[in-house]
Amino acid sequence: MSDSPRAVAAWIEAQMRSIPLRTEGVSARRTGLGGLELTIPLTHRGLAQRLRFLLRLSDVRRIELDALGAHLYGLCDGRRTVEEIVEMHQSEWKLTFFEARAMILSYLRLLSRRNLILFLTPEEQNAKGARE
Amino acid sequence: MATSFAPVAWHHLQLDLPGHWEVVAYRKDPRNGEIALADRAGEALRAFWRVMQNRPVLKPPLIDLIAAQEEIALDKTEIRRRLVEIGDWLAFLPRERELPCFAAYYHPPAQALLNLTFPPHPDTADRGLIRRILRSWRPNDGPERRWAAFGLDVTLPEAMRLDGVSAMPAAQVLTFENKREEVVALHRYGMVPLILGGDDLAGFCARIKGRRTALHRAGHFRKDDRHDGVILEYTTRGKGGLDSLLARIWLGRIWVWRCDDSKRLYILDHHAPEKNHIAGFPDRVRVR
Repeated sequence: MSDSPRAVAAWIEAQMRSIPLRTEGVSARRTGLGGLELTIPLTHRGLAQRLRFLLRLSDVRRIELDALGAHLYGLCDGRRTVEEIVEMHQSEWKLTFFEARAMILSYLRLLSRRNLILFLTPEEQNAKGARE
Repeated sequence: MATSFAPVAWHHLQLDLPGHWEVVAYRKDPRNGEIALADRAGEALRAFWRVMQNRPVLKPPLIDLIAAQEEIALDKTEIRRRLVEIGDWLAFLPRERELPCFAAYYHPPAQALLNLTFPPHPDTADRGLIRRILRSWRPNDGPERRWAAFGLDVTLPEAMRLDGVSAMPAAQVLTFENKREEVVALHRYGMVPLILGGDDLAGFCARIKGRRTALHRAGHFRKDDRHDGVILEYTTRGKGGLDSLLARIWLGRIWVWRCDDSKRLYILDHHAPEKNHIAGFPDRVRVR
């Protein structure tokens, strides 16, 4: 991606229009103080698959979210855009627009890197809705 | 909906700007700096300043700057004809909404050349807003300087120079230092009560200052007769380190208060020999 201000602004705008959706196959369990423990099944391939019993590799990965993280994860329902989530966060915590946007984009990227959510474009979401 | 205005003060500038414009870029240099403000629609204002020993001629370089803009297809004669004086400013405010606006002013007491650029933006399509902004300019070069940005607003003696800026989401800190290395730090945190994590105000301050600073409660106060706060104190020998071998005792005094309506928490930390402490310090901080 080019680093020109216009390119960065266009990328951020595309992110804001995207729709986060929780990844299938991830199970969630409530923990104390409103947190969430997520269990992600792992698929081992190749040598790791053959040696997983010997190396005692786990079949799952567990990630714990605090109350705020759990709340944001819950908002990734495939219906709300990132922009709507930013506005909700901004309103709830009386933050400025840029504060809320920086926090939400950063956190959603973190969830995405851990394969807990994926981002749909508005066109993909419409197509998904039409199929359902 | 009527626009609400809030002051932005940074080095040589004090302007009343729409309250939803946020500082998105800045430079600390008092001699050659800039500050940029934007909202979700994009950048709305970029201000530059440069300290110049000799008074510059304003018109020709301003005309050259405007003529160099690709989107402004006007010759220099036409640009010169369209320049207007608004307050102390020489300004170019084209009727065409898609064109940027410019303004320049040389402030002799500070020897500072100020330039403002207003990119095309929904708010500044109303040129009346730009006129209002230009007329709101006030100098910021006296014995008392105002610093208003990132949601923080404080007036300090001129000797207190801006030393550090940290502008993270929901956590902003401005730090000032004078030649004697006496320090003032102003913090603003958001998402209260979440960030307190069960701590009270004193406990939160202790977390911020770290284990090496022993805080003790020195009293209570009410900020603006509205917000309950706590006063904490700590002592060091000078600035610490080798200085502690010979230096006298320095007093650190902290005022911390929370604003439940805005879900913000403020910390004002002043570290200096007690006799050099600035009087009435909390009253110098304005809460938004």
